[in-house]
Amino acid sequence: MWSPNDSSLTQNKVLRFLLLEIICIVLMLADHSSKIAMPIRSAVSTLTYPLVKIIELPQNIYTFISSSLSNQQQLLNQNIDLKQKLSQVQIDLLQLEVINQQNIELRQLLQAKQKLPLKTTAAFLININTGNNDHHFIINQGYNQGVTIGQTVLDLNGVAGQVYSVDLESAHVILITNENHALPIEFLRTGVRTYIYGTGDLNSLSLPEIPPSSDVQIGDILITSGLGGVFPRGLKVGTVSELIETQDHSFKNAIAQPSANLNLLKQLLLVWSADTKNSGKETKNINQNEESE
Amino acid sequence: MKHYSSKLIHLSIIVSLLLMLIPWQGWMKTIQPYWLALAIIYWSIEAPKQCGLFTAFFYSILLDVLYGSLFGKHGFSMVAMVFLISKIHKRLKMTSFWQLTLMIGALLLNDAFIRMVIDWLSSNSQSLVINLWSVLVSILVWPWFKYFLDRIRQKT
Repeated sequence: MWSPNDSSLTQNKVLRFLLLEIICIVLMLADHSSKIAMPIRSAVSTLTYPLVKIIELPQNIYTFISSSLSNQQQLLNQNIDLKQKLSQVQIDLLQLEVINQQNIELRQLLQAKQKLPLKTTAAFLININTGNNDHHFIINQGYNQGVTIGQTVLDLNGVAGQVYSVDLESAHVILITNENHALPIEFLRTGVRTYIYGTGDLNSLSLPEIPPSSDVQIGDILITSGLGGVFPRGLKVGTVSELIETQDHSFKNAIAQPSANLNLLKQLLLVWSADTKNSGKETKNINQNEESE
Repeated sequence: MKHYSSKLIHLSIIVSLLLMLIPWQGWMKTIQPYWLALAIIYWSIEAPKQCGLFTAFFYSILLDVLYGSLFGKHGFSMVAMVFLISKIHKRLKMTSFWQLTLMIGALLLNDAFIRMVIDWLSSNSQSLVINLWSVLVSILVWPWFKYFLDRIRQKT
C-alpha cells in the first residue's frame, strides 16, 4: 500500500500543520503589540461583523416589539418619572454651576492649570457571548468611530473599564475587575496615590499597595489619579469596603467596591480626553509609566 | 471518497459559529457546548479533503476576533485537533459509534487543555481554569449533532 506519493502527501500535511501553528504562535505574540495585531483584527472583523448583526437582530426585534406593545399608561408613568428626575438633576446642576465658578476662581488664584471638561459619547453594549471570560464585553463603537486602544469607558456611576482591542465597527472593553487589569488611583480624602487591581470578581477590587503611613478608612472614595495618561484624572472608581490586616508592615491592604454597576451594564460612555492620541497605551504599560513620573 | 457540497459545509460551520455567539446568562453560559469544534470535527471526519487545516484555521481566527480572545488561541488548538483527526482519520471512520464519541471527548478535552495552557501563559493570573462542563456537554451534544447533520447531508 505504501507509495512515495503517499509519504509526500503526509509530509505535506505535517508541513501545513506546522506552518499554521507557527502562524498562530506569531499571531499570539503579535497580539501584545497593538500596532501589528490591530490591522489584522480590523480586517478580519469586516468578515465577522455580519455574524454579530445576525445575533443582534432577534434582540433588536424583541426590544422593538416590547416597546411598541407597552401600553400608553406605562409610557406616561415613565414620562412623569423621567421629568421628575430631570428637574432634580437640573437643580443639582444649578448648584454645581456656582461651585464650578468658584473652583475656576480658586484655580486662577492658585495659578493652577485649568481642568478641561471631559468629552464623552454614548456607546451601547453588543450582547453576544464572548467566551467564558466575564470580565470583558463589546461595545458598538469601533475604529470607524475613532475609538482607540486604552480609551476609558464609564457607566453612569463610575469607571467601568478600558478599550483593549478595536474592530472596525465594535470594540472590546476589559473591565476594571479583570485579573490582569491595574489602574492608578488616589484616595479622594487623603490624596494618597496607589494602584487598584481587578480580582476576577465583579464586586471587588483589591488595593494591595497602600503606603503604610497613610490613613485608610472604610468608605473612602477612590478616584482615578491620571498617572500613566490612560485614564483621565478625577473619575470615580469605587469605595473602600474592607481593610485587611497584614503580617508584614510594608503595605496596607484593602478591598474596594467598584462604583460602576458592572453586573448590569447597559449604557456606557466613551471618554475622549484632550490628548486621546497619546493615550494609546496598553494596561501593561501603566507600571512603567509611573516609575518614570 | 464522496464529494459533499462545500456550501453545506461552510453554512453548517457558520451556523455553529453563530450558535457560539448566543448570549446565554448564568450557568447556561458555562455549559455552552463548543459548537464550532463539533462542526469542524464532523466535517474533517466526513470530508477531510474539503474541511482541512486551513478551514479550521480560518474559522477559529474568526472566533478569536468575535470573542476578543488572544489572537490565534482558538486557531492553535483547533488546528492541532484537526491534525490529530487527520492522523487517525481511518480509524475514526471505522470505529463504533460509542468509541467515536469517546475519542471525540478525548479530542475536545485535549483542545480545552491547550487553550487553558495558552490562557495561563498569556495572563498574569496563576490559576489554571478549565471548563469541564463545556467539554462534557459537547460530548453529550455530539450524537445528536452528528445525527442531525447526517440527515441534512442525506437530503441534499
